[in-house]
Amino acid sequence: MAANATASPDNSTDLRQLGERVLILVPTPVDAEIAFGVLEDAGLQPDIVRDATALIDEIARGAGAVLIAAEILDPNTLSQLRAFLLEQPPWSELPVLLFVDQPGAMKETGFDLLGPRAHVMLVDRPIHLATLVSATVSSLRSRRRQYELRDLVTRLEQQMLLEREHAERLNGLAQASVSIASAVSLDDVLRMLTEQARRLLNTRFAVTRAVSDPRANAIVAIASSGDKQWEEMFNAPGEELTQMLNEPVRLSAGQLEGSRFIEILRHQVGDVLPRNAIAAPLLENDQSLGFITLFDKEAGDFTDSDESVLVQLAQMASVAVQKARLYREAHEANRAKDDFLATLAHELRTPMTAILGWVQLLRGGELDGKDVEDAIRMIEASTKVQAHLVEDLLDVSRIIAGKLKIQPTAIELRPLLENVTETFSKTAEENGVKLVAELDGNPMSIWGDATRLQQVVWNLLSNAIKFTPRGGTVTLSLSYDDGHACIGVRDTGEGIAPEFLPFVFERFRQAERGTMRTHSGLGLGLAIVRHLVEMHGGEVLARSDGPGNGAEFIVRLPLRAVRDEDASPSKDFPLLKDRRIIVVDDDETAREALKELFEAFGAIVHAVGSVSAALTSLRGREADLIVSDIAMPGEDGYALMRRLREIEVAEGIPALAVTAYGRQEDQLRILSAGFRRYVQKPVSATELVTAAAELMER
Amino acid sequence: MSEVVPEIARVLVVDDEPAIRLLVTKALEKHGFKVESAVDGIDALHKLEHSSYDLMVLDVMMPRLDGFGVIEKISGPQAPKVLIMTAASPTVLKQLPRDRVAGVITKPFDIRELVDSARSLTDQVSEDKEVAPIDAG
Repeated sequence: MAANATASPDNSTDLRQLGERVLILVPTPVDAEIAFGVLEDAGLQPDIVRDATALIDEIARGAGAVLIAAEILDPNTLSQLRAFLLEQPPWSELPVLLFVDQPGAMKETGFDLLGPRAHVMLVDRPIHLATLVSATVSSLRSRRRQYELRDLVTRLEQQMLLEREHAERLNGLAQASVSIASAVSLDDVLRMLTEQARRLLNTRFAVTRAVSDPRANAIVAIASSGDKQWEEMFNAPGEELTQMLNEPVRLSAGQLEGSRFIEILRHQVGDVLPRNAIAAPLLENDQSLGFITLFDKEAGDFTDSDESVLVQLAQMASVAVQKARLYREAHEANRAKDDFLATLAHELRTPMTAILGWVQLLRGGELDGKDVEDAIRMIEASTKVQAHLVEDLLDVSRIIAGKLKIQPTAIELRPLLENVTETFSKTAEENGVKLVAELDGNPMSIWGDATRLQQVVWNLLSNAIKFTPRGGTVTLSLSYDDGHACIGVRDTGEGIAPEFLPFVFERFRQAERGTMRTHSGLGLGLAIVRHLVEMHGGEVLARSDGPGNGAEFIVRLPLRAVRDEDASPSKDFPLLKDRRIIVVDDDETAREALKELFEAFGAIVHAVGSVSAALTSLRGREADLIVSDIAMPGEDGYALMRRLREIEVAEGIPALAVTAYGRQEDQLRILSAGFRRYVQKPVSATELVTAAAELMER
Repeated sequence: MSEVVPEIARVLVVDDEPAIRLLVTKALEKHGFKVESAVDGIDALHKLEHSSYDLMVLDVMMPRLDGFGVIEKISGPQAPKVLIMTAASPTVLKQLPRDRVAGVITKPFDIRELVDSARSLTDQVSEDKEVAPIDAG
């Protein structure tokens, strides 16, 4: 316990009671007893002390008032007591009732006898007991007001302390913010923020680490301040740490051991572990870009305020990282455009120069025999190159203007691909490249624009051949999976560097630029491919194991829900006539195709796009059959079956699943969910209609 | 036409595009030059090592080693005069080392213009007079 108990703002019952005590120091035991008795009877808390030393000790523990017989105060005791009282805090003015023998004695010196920290009242002997009680009670009242003052002062002091700390931190954050504005590079910004964090939170070590964007692994900037022993170790890539720090982490000495954070940290910093740690993520749309972490607070553990300061600094760091990236991207995009324009000029002017030049030579009559033949061949080739460039440019400008249109019909991909292969075999041969076709023979059809799809494959193949050295192989493949047709173009050529892979489908991008011309062309082909494929509701992916390992482009196009050859309605299915069918499919094309098919057979179809719409529909109308897709966003076909069991009107209505899932376990799951039958996509009209009719017949 | 060129001047034509390479070769040959050609910068350096030429007609944008790369690697009294033929933008032209380039001709060019430039550059091989100015615009 503190030497000076009265100065402590503790509000516990014990201390409050100690502070209410009336200490009695009277030489005669009888007198002491009498005073004790009277005060106790008055409901106060008297306490008799033995001597002056004991009195000082007890005052130190807490006292509301003191009764002292004047004769006890010999010069030695007086100075001892006075010295002790002088050390009391400023708010304290301890009430002292001093019993004096003659009336008027000590009147002149008595009040100041014990110094300014005591309030001395002289009580003349013989003591009137009622006066004693009332004087003591009023002394205690005055003492209580002193306590209130004490509490107030303490609160004010604490508040001021907090405000000072707060002001310092605000100042620090403001400084950090100014530093960012004036900093030249991202490294500078992070270094300043790191130093500021360490200063504001008063720690031994701070480090900030960032990647350029949430998907990137490469550390773009790292800054640390403080203890060297930890600095180096953060240079190692620690993806997991970045991943983990999506929420601020705060670990005190006790919590640190055994935590996931420290496990990763140990991996990162070895065995020299910090006493406590705090970390905050650099976030971009809830995804982590990195972190700021601080080790070893100089005094105590990290507080809420520490955390909020750190979160703000982390936010500044994250903004700085994002800003740096945006700047770089804008710069790169600008350069890509400049490069593109330079290439465009070169690519357009080269064939133009050749055509013009050869025509001039021909007109000048300077050529003969084989030269004329060469000239015509060169002019023809250059014209083709130029025509193709112009076509690409026009396509791109149509794409940008949103004016590129496709005219879809039902087409089979295999014959289309066979045609393209044939066209290309000569080009491939000329380039010393082997062209292989691996085409699935199933007669599947898609909904698409044959000319545009041909262009897609044409672009991919010419690219592949262009990038494949003599002796290499280009493979064109066609396969089907999960309701999609997959066209693959694989080469054994140069491959694509991983860092360039995300950009291959962008306009104005070629892996190498500047005046180094790698291959002829504008690099627009792939941008056009992507756009055309997306217009068909498909997607195109690029894969490569890096330079030297070839590349593969895969185009995925959705198959038609209904097979072509038997989509024509047959009137031999009277079983569907006027039967009421509810079709559930989130895909509009598939939904409409199913609706048309059943309607062609005379059924009355209500087609809906979700499970909830199906349930609403069932409540409002009668139905003989439910035909549903399985994979749907939100509630799927299985959910539909569960919900159907809950509604009475659905009882006994058979359900038929139409699904792209083909595995045996999928089929089992479909049947056990409550579907009576399933038909696999792409469905054959005959199969579907037969299954529907059979289900309704039962 | 050989009377225009006092001695038979030797020219190296460097362009990766066959249609241009052959065109320039043919045109210069018809006007009495002795012409050899190279398909890119590396090929050009190789040829320069083994023979000497009075003039090199050099494309800028080429695979493996571009025109800049070639200019950087040649120097000394043996080095031929350089006539740059390019479709490049003014920004690229500004990067050309002017002291090592005798002239620039911009694609698409009139083939007669190219022949004239070649002729004037080689005519002055021995006299070392003023050369065609670099058109940076």
